[in-house]
Amino acid sequence: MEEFHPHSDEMIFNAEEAHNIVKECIEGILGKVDYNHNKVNQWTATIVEQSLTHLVKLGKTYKYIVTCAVMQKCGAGLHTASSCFWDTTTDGKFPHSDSSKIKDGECATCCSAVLQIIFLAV
Amino acid sequence: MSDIAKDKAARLLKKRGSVSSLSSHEVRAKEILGKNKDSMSTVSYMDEPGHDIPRLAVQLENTYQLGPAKRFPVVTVNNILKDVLTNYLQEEKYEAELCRQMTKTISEVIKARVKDLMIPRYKIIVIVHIGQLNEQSMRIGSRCIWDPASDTFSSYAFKNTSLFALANVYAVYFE
Repeated sequence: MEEFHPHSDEMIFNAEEAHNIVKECIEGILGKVDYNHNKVNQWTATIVEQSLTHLVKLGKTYKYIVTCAVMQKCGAGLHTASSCFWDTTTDGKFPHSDSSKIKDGECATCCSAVLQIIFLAV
Repeated sequence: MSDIAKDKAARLLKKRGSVSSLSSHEVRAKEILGKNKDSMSTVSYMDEPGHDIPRLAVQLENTYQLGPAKRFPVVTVNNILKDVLTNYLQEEKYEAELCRQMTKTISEVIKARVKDLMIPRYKIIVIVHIGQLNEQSMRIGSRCIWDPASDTFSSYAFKNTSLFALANVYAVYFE
């Protein structure tokens, strides 16, 4: 009977790579546009799908959940919290924080986007 | 004599299905010490045929289970979300400090209630967004890479005069 020992580099999630992915995806798609109600659906879908493709290309044995919130800047506040029941040694989320200060991507002056990646070991 | 002691120790290890992280040599040494004190009087089970080679302690054993025994009840969880959000937020007005605490509390409450359903081998992720209603538009989307046969999600959006709230629960099967 053989035991499956995944290689250590496959199992550790690299925070810097994730940071780059998040930055690229948000700024690439929303960098120069004004908020457009008709297109926001398409933007959210594209951001999330692109970040998922980049994550899969990292080649690690993880399941991913990516959430993106795009909001028009009107002075309104938004709070997000998450509570997770998982294996703390192998799973996590990025950005790693317990306050509501999530990576805020600015695009022109009209909208902001927040991207959150959760990874779970298989 | 010491060989028999070692065999018995190894069988004790297997019998208990040990999940220890000690290497097998260390554990066997401990067992042997204990055995020597009690001499041979603690034997209480029959020899198993075919298991003459002592194996290394395994940490996780095969369950030979291909999918979840009990599936995640999406409808029940939808009702839980509706319940929790309505109870906590029906009368509230949007205030920065209150909503900051409220998001954390609500996500903990939802996680506790979903855990009470006792669905085995599922990892649970709860995400709650609470925002102010201010004539602005917003879109929240999520995509997942998982096994659609066993993993699923549940979602509920709540709105009152001054705020909106969105709760998402993702359930991922752990093989």
